[in-house]
Amino acid sequence: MSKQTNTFLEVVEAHKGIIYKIAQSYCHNNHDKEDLVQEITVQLWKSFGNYNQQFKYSTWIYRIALNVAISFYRRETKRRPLAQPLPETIFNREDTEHATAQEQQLVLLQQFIAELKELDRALVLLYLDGKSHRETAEIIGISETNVATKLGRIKEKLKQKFALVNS
Amino acid sequence: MTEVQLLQIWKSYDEKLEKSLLVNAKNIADIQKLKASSALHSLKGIKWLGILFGIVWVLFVGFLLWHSLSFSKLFFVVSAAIHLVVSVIAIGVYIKHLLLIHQFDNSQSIVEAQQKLVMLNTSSLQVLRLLLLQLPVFSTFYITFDWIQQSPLSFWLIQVPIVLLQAALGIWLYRNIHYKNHDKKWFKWLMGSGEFAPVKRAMDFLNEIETFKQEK
Repeated sequence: MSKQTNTFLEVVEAHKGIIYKIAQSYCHNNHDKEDLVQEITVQLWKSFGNYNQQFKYSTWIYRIALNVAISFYRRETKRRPLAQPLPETIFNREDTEHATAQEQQLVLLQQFIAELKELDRALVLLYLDGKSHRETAEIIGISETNVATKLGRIKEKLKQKFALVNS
Repeated sequence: MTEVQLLQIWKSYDEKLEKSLLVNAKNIADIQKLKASSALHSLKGIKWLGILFGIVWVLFVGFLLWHSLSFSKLFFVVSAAIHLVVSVIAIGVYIKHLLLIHQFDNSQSIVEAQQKLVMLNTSSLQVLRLLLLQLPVFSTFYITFDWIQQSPLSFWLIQVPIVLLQAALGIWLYRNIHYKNHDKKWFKWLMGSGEFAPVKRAMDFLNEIETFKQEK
């Protein structure tokens, strides 16, 4: 394996959660999710040679993964299959634990996120991943004030939905 | 549900993923051999097809024009020449779009990249506007001096109003087919179905992005 491939592997390994969570948030079923993970990884690899060191790896990955995910989501329902699907998946998940109360809340949270518009979904994912307003603004391409205003509204909406379900 | 609780749920999900998510290194290495099925893949094909068909068509019209260069065929020559110029411009626009597709960078900010993507997806509208501008030439290329002399009434009372109407319609459509008119009734009727339905959806998204960018 070349040095570049090894570095790429390390970057994907270190940021696998970002790719998985974005794919999970923009896909309705597991098959689409696997396709999207593959598509994001291919696009990351294609752009890896032009990676701009001015940005952190995470910022670069968020931008590409979110852009690919939004385009994937918006593509017509009659989607073309991948040009050359891999025989196996890129990520394997080992689930051994049973659903706890917190996991049930997580399922609800994911459901509420899925109900948001594509751009709001990107905002809330960055917020939940602990990104600052400045970083979020840089990834999304809007002002920090705008990020704060929109996030305030989205958080309120999420709280209301939880309150409705838990009441 | 408080903000802290929301973040805690997400953090526990993150930790769980970190433990349970295994990266298939062999597949990642195989990715280097794959071609991406990008959002612009099909658009690239359409543009190439448009350019190739356009070149063949321009050569054909150019051939006809070359062999018709005489004063007696003035209406045909002028109509074909206008059509030829518009077709060459349309090919140029398609080549420009192809370059933009080639230069498209997914690592731009989300708003910037999505806006460019939608613009590219609606770029066929630019060509449509151009082609509509030449609407009258399809009613002028068959006019002859003999017809004007032998049947002046049918020429002035039927043919000329038709050409003027087409010219007015062509100019109006050229000026008004724009995503900013996406909420107008006529626009929805014209673009809302058939092959333009995806263009309409793309325009709605463009409008959504514009609203998203506004601080309110």
